Amino acid sequence: MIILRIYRRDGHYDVHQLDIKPETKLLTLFEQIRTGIDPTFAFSSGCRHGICGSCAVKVNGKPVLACKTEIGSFRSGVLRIEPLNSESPKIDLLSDFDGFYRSFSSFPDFLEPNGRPTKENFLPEATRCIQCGICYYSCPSVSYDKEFSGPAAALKQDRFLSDPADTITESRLEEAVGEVYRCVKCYRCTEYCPRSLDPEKAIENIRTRCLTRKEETIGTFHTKALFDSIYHYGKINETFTARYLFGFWGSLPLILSGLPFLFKRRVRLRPVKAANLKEIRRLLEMEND
Amino acid sequence: MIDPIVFFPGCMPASIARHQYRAEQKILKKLDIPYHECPEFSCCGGGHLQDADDIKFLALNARNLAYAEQHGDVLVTGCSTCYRNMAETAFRLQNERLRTAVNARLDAVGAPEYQGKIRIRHMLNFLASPEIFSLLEEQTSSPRPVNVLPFYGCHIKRPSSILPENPDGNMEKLLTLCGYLVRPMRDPYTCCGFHGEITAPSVSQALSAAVSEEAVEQQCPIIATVCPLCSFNIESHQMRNKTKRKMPEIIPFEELLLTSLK
Repeated sequence: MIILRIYRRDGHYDVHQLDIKPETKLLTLFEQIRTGIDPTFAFSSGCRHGICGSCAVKVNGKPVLACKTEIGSFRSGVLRIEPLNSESPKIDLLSDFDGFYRSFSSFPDFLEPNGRPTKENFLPEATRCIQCGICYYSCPSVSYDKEFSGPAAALKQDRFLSDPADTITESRLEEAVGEVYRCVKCYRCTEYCPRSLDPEKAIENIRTRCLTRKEETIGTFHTKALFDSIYHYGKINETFTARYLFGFWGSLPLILSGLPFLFKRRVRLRPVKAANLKEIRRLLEMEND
Repeated sequence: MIDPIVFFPGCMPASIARHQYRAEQKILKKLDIPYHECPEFSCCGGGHLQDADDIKFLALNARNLAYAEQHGDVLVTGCSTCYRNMAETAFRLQNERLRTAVNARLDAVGAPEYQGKIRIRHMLNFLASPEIFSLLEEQTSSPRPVNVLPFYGCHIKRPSSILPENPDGNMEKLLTLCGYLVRPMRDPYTCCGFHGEITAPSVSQALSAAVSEEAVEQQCPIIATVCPLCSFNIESHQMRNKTKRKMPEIIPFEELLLTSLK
């Protein structure tokens, strides 16, 4: 016996108590409800094989593709089913995807080739993305920062940036540098991707490329500050990184804001250095192939 | 007698979150669990070294794991970001080619070889495991009927495909044992925003404020955390947002546990 609480158009939840096999797919259940219980129940679906990405919904807060998800895969016997973009629902399980589609328009999402085919066998993982919107609508940075283009866009940007046939890498990177540092690294995108892609890794790859640009941003500078702190101490030293980022005077307010922690006996004033620091430094100095 | 463990405190507990570090050490001592802390341990990269250089990130973590392998079979850390980074390293270095390449680097600098044998555990999962939990059951006293909001944060759970353990319910189990009234959090695995503190400050602020607000809403005077980065971020945002309302206290779960141990 399973209890479903399904979000409906006027904001209330329909409750269904159903005796159903645990291996039944969520989408099959939606269809059964529409044909047998309520013909006005709206949801979207297409291929039924996890390819079209149109049936994404949230179940107990977790975003999933309805066609690939079995009812029995949830621990709880009560399933709260909501539209993917729960901030902007339209009708029942259908929601507004404008934000997600707009996120791709901030950069050229096609290849600018130099006309010559490359010899390399380049088949990026990112091409498997089905644009279901799961990563975008589960990203906490997106929900608080509407200008952030989100994980799927980063995956696509990384795909073009790493393509040897592309010719506009510089301008792509200029677009990307303003985007990738908006991520807070919570790994939700990687966790929930129904295609097992890794948008977080794509963001990390782009951040690495951003370090090659001459122009510094707070993001690239922050990465360098932490790198240098590890180089000098083998550890992250908060005072060192603050001074590196904001200078002596600029870092003072930040350092002084730590005084309450000092009074609570939480701070060790003498910096800790790792033993065998030479090993760490040599590891960080090594040239890559 | 419990087998000895290797204890990896992480940079933050050893420098600006000493209360967590002290609590962890005291718990291990009270439970009579022998532990070793290698002075050679470096930073795990703090979640950002992989942004600078992926192979150096792997090498630095493999070096820590290699030193840990010399002193025990289990490494326990109280920092979720350290746990995630080390688990990612161990997971990716199961690939023999990559492990050989990383070991060649370790060899070139004179560090020990990483064999891939050590088990990486988070302090929360370690203390909630059956053998340690039964020790705790014998030692806990004086129930404290105070409402607590258990906040797990993200790196202890995600990405679950590479992390060795699922922490679901572990904090509830330990805090209930100590007599706390644990309230269910809407999304205990939400992000505190620490890793965007410098680069996306408004998002970081909003995320940590949401955690504090939920505690106020649920009438919890205490938010229990499992990661020093979460405690630091939520607490420092609370201090910056001066409000007349009484805000909840952020306490590492280790400290809460320690106060209930005999």
